[in-house]
Amino acid sequence: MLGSRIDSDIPPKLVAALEANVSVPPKLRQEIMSLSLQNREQIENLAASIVRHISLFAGTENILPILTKLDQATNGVLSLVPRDDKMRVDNEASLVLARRSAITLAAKLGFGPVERTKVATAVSELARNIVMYAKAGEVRLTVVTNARIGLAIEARDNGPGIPDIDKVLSGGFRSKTGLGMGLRGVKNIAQEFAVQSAPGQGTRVRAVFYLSMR
Amino acid sequence: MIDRIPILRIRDLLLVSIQADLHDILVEQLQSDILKELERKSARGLVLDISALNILDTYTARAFVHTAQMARLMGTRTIVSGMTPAIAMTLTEMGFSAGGFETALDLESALTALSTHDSDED
Repeated sequence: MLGSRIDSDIPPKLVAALEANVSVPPKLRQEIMSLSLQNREQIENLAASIVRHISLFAGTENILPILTKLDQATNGVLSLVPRDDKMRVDNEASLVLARRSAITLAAKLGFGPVERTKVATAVSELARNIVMYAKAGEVRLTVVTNARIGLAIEARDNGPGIPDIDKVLSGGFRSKTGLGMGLRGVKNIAQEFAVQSAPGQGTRVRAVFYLSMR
Repeated sequence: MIDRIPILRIRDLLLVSIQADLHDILVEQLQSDILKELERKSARGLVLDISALNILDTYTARAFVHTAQMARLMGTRTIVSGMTPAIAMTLTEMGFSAGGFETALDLESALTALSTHDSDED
């Protein structure tokens, strides 16, 4: 959570806490020291840089423990530890919020700008399908930490369901509003994709994006 | 959230700089505002600058295609400028064909393209 009070002690505290765990190169130190707590995008970029740095120099398994220490040292002002999120989606505003949450969480997992855009676009497509066809539903963002770090998006609704899901995914069905385009698009950009749907039984879509360390 | 995106007229060009996180009602409002402005006074070109956006989903991209088509019918050439590499990669990988609207790297290139077109005609 971003505190309203600006504490200039935060950047040096963050550098010190990070240095206690991994070496901090000048470029990263510079990025931390020039941090402005009002600039959300800058904080997101920094969060991603820190995660990638920890991952490279301390190993993936140390990301969460070190981030926890960093949050403790900075009183949680930057909220660097990625947390699962669950949102009700039922209108335009909630769609925009869901996208924002996805970008922020993706940044906290070390995703670069392109991957962040992909994750947020996928959330946007799935949330929009919910608002358009089911009126209301839920989007869950879950941190995946098995062999690789990833972000799972789960979209659920109890709407009318999709009659011929295979046809929709293969491109054989084109809706005026673009349900097929959106679902196929998400399938194309996600590393894992699954959809369960039947008439009268609602729809559940799961799409997973993994962190690439390129 | 803002509820309207301003449309600037510079001589015979319309310029729309999209700074807000786009939601559907905003997109629809923009579309109808552009058409009303074109009806009021014709324009040779329309530039939609999206350099401030970091997300453009297929719904909004399609809305831009429709806007460009409608503007074309009203004698106006539309150029979408400033698409970030992240958006370009995402839309392409999703299978969205960007053939529906003309693009330019940045606002300046878009304006140059529209004025070059003008001198070609003369």
